[in-house]
Amino acid sequence: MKHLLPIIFLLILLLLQPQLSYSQNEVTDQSYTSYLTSLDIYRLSHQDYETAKAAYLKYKTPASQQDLLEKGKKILIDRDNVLISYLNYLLLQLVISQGVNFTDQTIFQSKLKVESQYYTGHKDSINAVFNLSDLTKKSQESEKQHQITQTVIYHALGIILIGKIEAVSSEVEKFATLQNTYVASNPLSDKNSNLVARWSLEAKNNQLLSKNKIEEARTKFSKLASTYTTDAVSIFNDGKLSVLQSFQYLNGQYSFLKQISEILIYE
Amino acid sequence: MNNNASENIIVTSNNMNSMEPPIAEKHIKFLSLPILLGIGLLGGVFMLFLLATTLSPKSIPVTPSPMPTPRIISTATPTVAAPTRKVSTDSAIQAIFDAESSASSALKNTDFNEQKLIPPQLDMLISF
Repeated sequence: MKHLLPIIFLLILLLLQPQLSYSQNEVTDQSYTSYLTSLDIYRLSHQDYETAKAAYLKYKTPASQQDLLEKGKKILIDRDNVLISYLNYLLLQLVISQGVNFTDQTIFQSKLKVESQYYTGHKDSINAVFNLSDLTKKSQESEKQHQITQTVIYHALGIILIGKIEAVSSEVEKFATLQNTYVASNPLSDKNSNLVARWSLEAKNNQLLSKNKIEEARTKFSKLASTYTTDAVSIFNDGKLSVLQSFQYLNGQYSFLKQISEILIYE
Repeated sequence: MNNNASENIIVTSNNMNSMEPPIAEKHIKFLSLPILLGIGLLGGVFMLFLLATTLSPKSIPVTPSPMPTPRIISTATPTVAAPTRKVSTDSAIQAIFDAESSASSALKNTDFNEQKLIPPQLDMLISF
């Protein structure tokens, strides 16, 4: 029996392995579900707030004022909850995304946590508000902070996109390197040699163009490094366009490499 | 006179009916046997062909494929003259194929427009 214990232990580990890898996806799925739930709650609160505000503006009674105060506090809390849950989800995505280097991961995890902590503190402070003017100030505080949060969010999204394109580029580059090594050590017939040389040059051109576009995207996203910018969305979209162009060049490179592979098989 | 002519005609046609079959029927009988034989012969040849292809495919000449067999499918043992080169070439080609497959998968499965990552649209201009 004793000599069977290590085998049983290994079997248990093997059975647990899918559970362990599933839990990472489970955590991100749960995080996304939590974000969607908070978004739904916020949307309902927003409707209640609009109704209460319309009633207060129309009747200006103490009851309508009190109702607006309650609905106002609720919507600010729910709005903070949406941002907290989204920031947590984005943080997890940053961790599991391919191609994001460790330095960027650490920097952006820290930035996203700072933003999340702000909204947690802001949410807690709302319960201590007892009149509409203080509630308006609270709303304006988070409005101002949101401009900074928006910049951090779009910068993090840009980093994730750069990571994705670099992960794909790395796979295509491995393919190219293996082919080049093979062609260098296995002479081809004259006809095929000329064809392979031509296509190899085309593949390298596409690779170079792809890398240039990645650098271009990185430069554009780096403009989001400043604490706050009103153009966060347009800067992000501009950088994303460069990433998509880089991806097109990678596809072009892959097509030429595939043609070369066909020749190598039948040589 | 007329009655005699019609009687003759009737008698003649009756005689024809009793004595021999009509010409069309004779032709049909004459032609049906060769046709049947021909169909039977063709069918037999076809059956033979089917049997031959299922039992021994190599015995039937097959139109050569336009492309030669890819090297990676070949499991031939290396020749004595240059065994190392053939084995390393096959494994190198296989490695290229694996890399091609990985690259293709990465290109197909990467999504730059993931909807889940879009930030929430919130009303930040709430006033009371």
